[in-house]
Amino acid sequence: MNALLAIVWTEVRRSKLLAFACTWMIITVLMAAFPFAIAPYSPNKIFPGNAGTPPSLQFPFGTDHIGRDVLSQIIWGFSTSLLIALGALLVELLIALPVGLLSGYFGGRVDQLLMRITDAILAMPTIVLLIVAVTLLRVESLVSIILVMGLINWTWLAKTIRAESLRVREEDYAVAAKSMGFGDLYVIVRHILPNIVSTIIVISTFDMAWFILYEATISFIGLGNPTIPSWGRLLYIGRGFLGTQPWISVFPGVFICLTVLSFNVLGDSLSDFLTVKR
Amino acid sequence: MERGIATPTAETLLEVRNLKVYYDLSGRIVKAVDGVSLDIRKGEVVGLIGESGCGKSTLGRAILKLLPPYAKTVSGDILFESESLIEKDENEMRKVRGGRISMIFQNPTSSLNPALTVGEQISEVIRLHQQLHRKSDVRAKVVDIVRKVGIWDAQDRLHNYPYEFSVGMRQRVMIAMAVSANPKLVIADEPTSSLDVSVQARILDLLHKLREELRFSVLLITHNIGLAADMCDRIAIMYAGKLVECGGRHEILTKPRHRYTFALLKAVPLLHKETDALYIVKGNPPDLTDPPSGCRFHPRCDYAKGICRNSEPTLTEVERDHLVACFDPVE
Repeated sequence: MNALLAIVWTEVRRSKLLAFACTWMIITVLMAAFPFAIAPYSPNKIFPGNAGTPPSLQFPFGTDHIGRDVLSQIIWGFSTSLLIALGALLVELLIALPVGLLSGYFGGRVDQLLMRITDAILAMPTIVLLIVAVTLLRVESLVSIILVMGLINWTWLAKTIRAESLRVREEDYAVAAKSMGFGDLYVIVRHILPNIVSTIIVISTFDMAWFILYEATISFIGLGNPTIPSWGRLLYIGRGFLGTQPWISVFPGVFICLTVLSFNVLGDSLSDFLTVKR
Repeated sequence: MERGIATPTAETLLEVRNLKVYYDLSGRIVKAVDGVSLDIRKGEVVGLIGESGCGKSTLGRAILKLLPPYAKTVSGDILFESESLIEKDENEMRKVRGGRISMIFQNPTSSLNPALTVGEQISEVIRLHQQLHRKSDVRAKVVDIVRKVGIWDAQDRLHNYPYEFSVGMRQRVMIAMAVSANPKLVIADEPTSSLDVSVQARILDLLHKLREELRFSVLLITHNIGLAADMCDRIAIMYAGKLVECGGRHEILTKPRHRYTFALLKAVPLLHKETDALYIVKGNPPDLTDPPSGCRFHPRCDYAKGICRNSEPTLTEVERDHLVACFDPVE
């Protein structure tokens, strides 16, 4: 663990971009974890008479068209976004891991069957599928959004895990393990998984960025839950006031950009230093 | 049916009978092992020698049923302690692998899992085959076996990852894993080919020592005649999927009867003999999708006659325990 921290520290000092990404991640994750302590106001509190105030000392990022503090909404909104992204990632992993590992390791008919199903889902345009699913389900709860995003997005991860398993399966140590009498399950769990876990972590990081964007997209087109603060909801509100009250959408926009960028930078760096040494 | 190296006796440990293993590469059939019979007695080291691609590794893997899915064991049988391995299912084979027959691979840099420590990998093999429940018992056994293969600072090295070991040390670890459950037979597939010469010698010494202590038999698969001359009691020469000659080490090395064996031995450079050019066996090994008719060596043989092209020689005993498949053996 100490060794890992040492590596991270060296990497962070080498790259300014990574240093920024890490700092930004720490700040936003803290925001998401303790919004009640950090946010100046409750996200849905309306300040009568302060509708559409530009940024000021009292409201650092201004207020929206009905007088709610934008900064508080951004802070609480990220709580929602992160929760949704993590939930969707969990759903995605629960599907992609077994599908990818079984497909890649056993090959043959199992592979054929699983990959054709994957291809079928992959063939559908994600965002359209997402909109249709959210509309059809009509449940504006977070759980349905989490499930829908996870169920739609697992295909690429499954394909990658399959390709990696296929590679590791042919490695000498996997064959050697079989020659020592180990069963398939053992080989998958102890030999395949540890050697592809870095790839899974890297892709998960990129997928977190996607989930945040997807959630924002759904809320932006008005399919989100209007009572739960989220970054997409702020963009949705701000859309109508872009000319007169740009702060409503510009600040959350900047937050989305920087957060997605940070996830991607982090994913890139992780892929560099998580590679297993030979 | 062709006869094996010798008539099976009570001491026979492994008996391969007329084994045929073919690869199906999307319609192209590669006859990698085409009717090989071979037996290994208890406590004996048998060398299986041949050029790359002659099917010797395929034979080794076929014994443990570790062939890729596109390989098919077409016919023949493999008897190990009088039990047919061919008839065993995957579950039964798992008990044989590592427990009664184990394998040492060519490349120690890639045969150890880079993501697990060496200690973890050895202890998992030990836990698989031995009824040790206490953690301390497993650890004691791990340290014991690692010392046995000559890693003296065992205790300090177990938490290291494979990349922290030298290639020779990694091969020692592989050997430790292979012999940890006291197998009866160790299949060593080019165990020293990727090591440098001085390390090779030490690994061979180790195998020798362990064999005397644990009394297992060895099937040594190699292309290196010098290595086989050092270690083996008997030697089998394989060419293009078939055995062409087998017999005691002394007979094979000093009185080779098959033209191919003769040419192979002539091609070994000797330190004390000054030569202008190395002798090489002319031509290339045949394509196993379409092997030559008759004796498979005839296109490369200086003594080929009509009969060599038209009919296939069978292994016949020319002396006690010395079999040759040649119509015109060396006198």
